[in-house]
Amino acid sequence: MQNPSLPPHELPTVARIPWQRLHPRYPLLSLIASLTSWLLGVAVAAGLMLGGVLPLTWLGFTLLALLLLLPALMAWPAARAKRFAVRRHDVLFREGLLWRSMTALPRSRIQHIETQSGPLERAFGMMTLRCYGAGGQQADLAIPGLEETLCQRLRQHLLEVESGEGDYRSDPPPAGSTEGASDQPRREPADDD
Amino acid sequence: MMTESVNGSGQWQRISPLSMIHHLLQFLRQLAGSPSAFAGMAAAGYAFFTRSPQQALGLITGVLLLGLLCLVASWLRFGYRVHNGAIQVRRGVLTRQRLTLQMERIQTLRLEQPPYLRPFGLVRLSIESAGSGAQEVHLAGIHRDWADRIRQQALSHGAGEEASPDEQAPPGDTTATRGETLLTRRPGDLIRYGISSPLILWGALVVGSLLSAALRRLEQNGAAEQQLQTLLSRITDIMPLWAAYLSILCGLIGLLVVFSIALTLLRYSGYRLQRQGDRYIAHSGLFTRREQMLRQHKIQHLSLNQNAMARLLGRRHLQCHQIGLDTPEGPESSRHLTAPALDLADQTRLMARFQPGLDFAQLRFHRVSPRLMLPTLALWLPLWALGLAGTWLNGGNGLLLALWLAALPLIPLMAWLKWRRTGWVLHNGYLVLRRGLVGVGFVSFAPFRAQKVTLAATPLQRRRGLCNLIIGLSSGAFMIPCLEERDATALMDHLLAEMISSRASWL
Repeated sequence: MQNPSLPPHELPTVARIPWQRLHPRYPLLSLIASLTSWLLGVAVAAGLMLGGVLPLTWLGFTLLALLLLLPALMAWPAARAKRFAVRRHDVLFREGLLWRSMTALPRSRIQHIETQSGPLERAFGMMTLRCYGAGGQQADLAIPGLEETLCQRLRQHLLEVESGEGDYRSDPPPAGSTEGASDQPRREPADDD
Repeated sequence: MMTESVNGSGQWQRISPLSMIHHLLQFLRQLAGSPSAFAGMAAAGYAFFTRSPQQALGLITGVLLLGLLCLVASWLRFGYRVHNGAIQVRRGVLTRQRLTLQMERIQTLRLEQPPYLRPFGLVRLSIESAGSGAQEVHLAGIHRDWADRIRQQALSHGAGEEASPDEQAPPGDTTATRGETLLTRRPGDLIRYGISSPLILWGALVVGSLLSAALRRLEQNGAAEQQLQTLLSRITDIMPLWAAYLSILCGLIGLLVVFSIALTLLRYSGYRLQRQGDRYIAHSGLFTRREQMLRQHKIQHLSLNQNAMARLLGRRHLQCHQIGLDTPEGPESSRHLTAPALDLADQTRLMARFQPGLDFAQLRFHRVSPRLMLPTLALWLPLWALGLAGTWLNGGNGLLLALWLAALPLIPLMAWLKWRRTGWVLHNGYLVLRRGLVGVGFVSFAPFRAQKVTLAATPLQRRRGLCNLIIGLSSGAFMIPCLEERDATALMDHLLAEMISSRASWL
């Protein structure tokens, strides 16, 4: 039996994660979806204003629309800030520009996985991977903007039953995310802020 | 592992078109469960119908045809197969979904045969992974033999036809009485629980409804309103107005307490908690006798609460939570087992059973950053200032202004108390979180029970190197706010290591 010593800097920690970017066109998709929602909202508001339901002047309406355009445009940088990482025993997702969050979900805690692709995602060849744990009705972890093939392989990898105890350390990404050069996401330094 | 398909080839299979009846019935059930939506639709339909019957009929026909089209499209798109030891479902017309559920993840499996499927030898198969109710697989019309084979495969993978968490012991089960009795509650204990438990909120709901109904009747009945005015004027003859209001308030609170005690006695009368093997069985109820059962290894977390009233009475209420989130379905959810109104000795004895090795007397909690006080101050101080300004501008009298000013120290006191109460500690393989204000509440669980961990930080927290750690269990999520980033990272690493390396059954 081998039991090599582990220097402290090799101990597994979420502080050193090899984050990976989502699909390069995901920010564009996100922006299109966001601007579409904004346009729909503006159209409905304009209809209500013309119908006399919304007591707004054209100046007020324009200012309001421009104000709401700002968060819609933020969809681009927000999408660029999203990252995911797959280690041997868990999957992680990071998001947020101002309010940041990082979620880790061990593979052993995944109850089932769902892949989802709306019309826009299908047009861009992307999918969303949703991992469900136990006890909730919402996905515990959702990774949007994954290339379809990668998403399917990631799903398969995460569903595989872990064999053996394995060593719990900062493992390289699994075969599912490293096989093949065509759909391998770009690797990034641990801290890209 | 069994990899052969139930249907031999692993090809996608369609369910029976009769499944559309199930979806239609489900839609009607949802509509009936939402009276406001139903009433709105009915009112709009009636108004439209009286205005233009032809157009209304045309619209109704159109909606029905569209609904039928959607049903058929959903049925055509819906497919299932058993492949590589997993059951897979694909569905969705515009947004396509594919769900894969490993056989060993199946928690419960239910076969039903409604009347419209019976003549055709079809059944409805419902499969649930642990607790994820919304994502369960419904095969609303498949052949009985196939359903049996799927069930056999699931069982051969070790999945549970486990009794549901709140399984009921059969009536008249004499084995239940042979267990070791851990706790009994006398009427005095239950009255204390009634005064200090969340059931008082249900009392408030009942009293509120009664008062609201009484006021509506008064508005409709001029004579009764006149009588009430006369009664009020008589009362103000006897005592000052403020004393009358105070008396009414005390009366209402008394009424709430009476309702709460009555509900407690109805629900917990004859309470007896027993242990039988690895099962805890709680017997209680005055009219409807309940026997709630919980297995030791199913306990996800314990919560021990002592609100301000319970502190005065020297009691704490313990709840053992199992998988699934509590839903507001009644005064007491069946998703947790309650041990009401415990004194210190009861608490120590029960905790030693539920979570051996966890000694509350030895816990030394780590504090979080004092910056936790800032959000409380930022919320309440402006509200206080607005209230003061409003009172002053509306010509409030000196007493009212003095009361407002006197309330100011309460805000920092409240923020300080909240910070003092918030803490966490790792002790003998358990993570214990503490929170509270005047009262105090503890949540304890073994770290391996966690299923996901999230680090979240607001912009202000990031500037100060702080963040919140949110730990998700299958029975709920708990947050440790305002942690130093290095502590939060270390705790997250520890929790992940426990989750990954633990061999214990976590569900």
